[in-house]
Amino acid sequence: MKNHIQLVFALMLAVIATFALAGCNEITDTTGTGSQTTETGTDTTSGGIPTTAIDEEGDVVMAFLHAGNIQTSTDKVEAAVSAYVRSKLGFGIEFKLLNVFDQTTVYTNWLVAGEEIDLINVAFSDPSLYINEKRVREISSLITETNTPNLFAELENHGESKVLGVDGKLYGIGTWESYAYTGYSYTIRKDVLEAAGLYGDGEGQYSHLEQITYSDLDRIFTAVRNVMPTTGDGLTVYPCSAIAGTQNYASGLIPFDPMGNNLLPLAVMLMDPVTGEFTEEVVNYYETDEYKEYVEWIGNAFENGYIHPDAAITTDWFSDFFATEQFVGVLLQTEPGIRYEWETATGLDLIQLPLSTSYTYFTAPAISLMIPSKSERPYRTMQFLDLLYSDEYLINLLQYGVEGEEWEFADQEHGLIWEASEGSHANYVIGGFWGDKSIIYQFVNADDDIEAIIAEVELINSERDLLQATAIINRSPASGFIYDTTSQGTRIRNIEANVLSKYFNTLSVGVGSKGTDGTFTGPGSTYAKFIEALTKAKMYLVVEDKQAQYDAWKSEQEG
Amino acid sequence: MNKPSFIQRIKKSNIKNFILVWLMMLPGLTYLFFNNFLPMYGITIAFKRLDFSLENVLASPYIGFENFEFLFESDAILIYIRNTVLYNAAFIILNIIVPVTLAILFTSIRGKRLKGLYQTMILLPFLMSWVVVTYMAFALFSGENGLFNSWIVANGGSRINFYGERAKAFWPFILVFFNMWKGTGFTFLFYYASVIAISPNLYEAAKLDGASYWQQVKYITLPSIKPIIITMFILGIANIFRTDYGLFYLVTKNSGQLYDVTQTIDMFVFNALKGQGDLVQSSAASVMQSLVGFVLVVSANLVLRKVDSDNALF
Repeated sequence: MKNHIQLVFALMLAVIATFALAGCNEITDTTGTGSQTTETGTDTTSGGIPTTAIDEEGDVVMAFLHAGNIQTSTDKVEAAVSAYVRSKLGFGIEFKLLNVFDQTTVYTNWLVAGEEIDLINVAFSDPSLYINEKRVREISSLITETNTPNLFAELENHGESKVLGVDGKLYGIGTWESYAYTGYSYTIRKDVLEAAGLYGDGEGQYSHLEQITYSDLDRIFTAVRNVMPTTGDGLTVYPCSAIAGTQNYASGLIPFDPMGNNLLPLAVMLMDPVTGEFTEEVVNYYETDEYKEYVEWIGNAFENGYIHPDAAITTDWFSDFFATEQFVGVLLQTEPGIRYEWETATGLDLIQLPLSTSYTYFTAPAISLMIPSKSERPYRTMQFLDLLYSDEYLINLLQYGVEGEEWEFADQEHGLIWEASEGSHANYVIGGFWGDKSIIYQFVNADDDIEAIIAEVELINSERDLLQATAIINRSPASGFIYDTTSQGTRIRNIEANVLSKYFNTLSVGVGSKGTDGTFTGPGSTYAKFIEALTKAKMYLVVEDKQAQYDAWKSEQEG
Repeated sequence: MNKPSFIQRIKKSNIKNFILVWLMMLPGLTYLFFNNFLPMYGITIAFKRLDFSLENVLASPYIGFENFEFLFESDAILIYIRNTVLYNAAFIILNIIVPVTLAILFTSIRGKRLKGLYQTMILLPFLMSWVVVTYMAFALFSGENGLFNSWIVANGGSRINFYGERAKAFWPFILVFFNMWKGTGFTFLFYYASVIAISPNLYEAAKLDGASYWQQVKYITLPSIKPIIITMFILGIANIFRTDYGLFYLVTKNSGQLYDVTQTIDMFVFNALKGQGDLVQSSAASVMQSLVGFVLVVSANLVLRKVDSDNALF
């Protein structure tokens, strides 16, 4: 019997070896070009739509991101969207629901398994992986072939919407407008700032949109701790909302152009937070004097008890802490629309104190719509995207649900909507969709005076115009530069997986600890080990490579 | 005397007797083949530059060991291997000693109700989800309102950041404790079943010969359950390169400061895939894990064949 078992295992090992070695005779292709699926033809009808689009069959299948809670009426929204698009374009839309936190693994599984999917929403992930591994197709040619005037115009006018590959071709379209141009603000409850005597135009006081620095933050934190040490329920109030992953004060205090698609900064170009001037030197973000200063400051904030003790490991959202009043100020993008959304949701007046001036840089958008390379309906998908851009009914249906059920107009002329029934409000989809932002409605509180709301919305729009005007002036010189990661990709992935994953969260929230002798060990020693690990991982080679590529690109632009 | 040929041995073995046995094994073997062995072809992903535009992504170009380079750019992989091996070694040893001891002690309990109560207490943690255990651990170790820190602060001390670097020396013990606390109930059942299957006549004879309780354990109980101990040991060795996601990721809250003592290869692979969606990087780490694990299992089996060849795996 033992011999039989040995025979079986020997046979199985032989099978494994056969499969494992099957790939060894393939031609080594180091260029990584592989082969693209080719289109069958670009004959066009008189309407400018190629015959291949007409030959495509079936409904467009699109990924529909949610944050864990699927709205109960999602199937109604799907049916309404499908019926509407069918009436306009002759085909329907099918949703493939997906939790935004699972997208990296689920998209990979879908693509490997050959799942039917025509449109994906790559949110808060590096799209270059999708481009380099040809998970998505280039769409530059599709734009010219499918008569999509809205897409063409949008991409011509808004460079931030583009997702470009190293080859300069277009691979996706951003949904959100790039909020990087407004920077980050310490957004604090107006009532708390008033109670601390710090709100106003007087000496030592702060007014809305007044830029602040480290010392101002220290003053505010100390004052908040004095006037509001605990919540009504006896929980400790933490003036500094630093939380690993979502509330990183370094991002606001040390603005930079990432010059690439990395989620965390690596080799970057720094900007002066006051003047808005960018250097043209590529640096290791973490070895700069600015970052060292930040580590010391955040460590002091932690030592003083201004930061939640579990900031480095908590999985709770900063919005949850804000709801329980343990946070009275949070880090938000200096975007009046975001502030207004928070005020609407919380019923509180908020003051935004920017940590830097407004600026803008070119990088891949935070959320990008992309077409998988194996999509069987790329042309139909492009037609759908083009319709989405300018169709007011469609984009708001996708964003907010069915009119009359989830929402109704508060003021149609100004595009203001409120809940149709109590508790029905929610955004249906994470990340939104691309399109003309002026036709997307705005949610307001049902109880508010509509005239006051309209005045507020107009104020918000003028605030935004001012911020954008400043941002355009403070534009990174590296706008348009695409970093080719071919030579350093492995090193970058190693740094992200083995170094940043270990140290970044701790340093971003200043975690330290007191020893039994009462001495506080701040993040300083952690910082030293972090830099040592980065050096060992040869981060300097990434910096050198990026600088060389940037210099070459700059010469080409000027030449 | 010449050794009979393969065909002669088959003819001699009266293969008809084994046909029914093989037929019984066929469904399981088929499942094993399609679920465990056929997908092994996917191992080639680790040696390729993926091109999803191809009809079959597995036909992507082969680039040798390029995807493995990142593993050796830092000494992190050695730390992860060390953590994996040491933790599993501790788990294997303690997962034998503790349940065996409990099983033996259980035989001394006379009261039926007490026995049932103790059995429930031992088994209950095994039935809990690791998510629940995570929050129990957090309730103990939280920097803000954790039980330990509340007690420390109430007694005039300074809070300890248990998820921070200065407390990382605690974590090997914490993880081993939670693994034992949760897993003992299940393995205990195997050993207890073996212990109660031992013939009482042996114990009676030993008592007549004047053997003490510990002598009975040493000369009767332990030798009798030796086969199951070796089997469980082999199973543990086979999984020595796997780690429990719930324990190493959830309970530690994936705290980067503790990576030196808590990060294992499985967790590294998971973080790489979850965080970056990088299939090739995680595949390369997985291949590395499998190769080293294979070497360990074969080595352990070689040692076991010297000690007790009858119970060796192969």
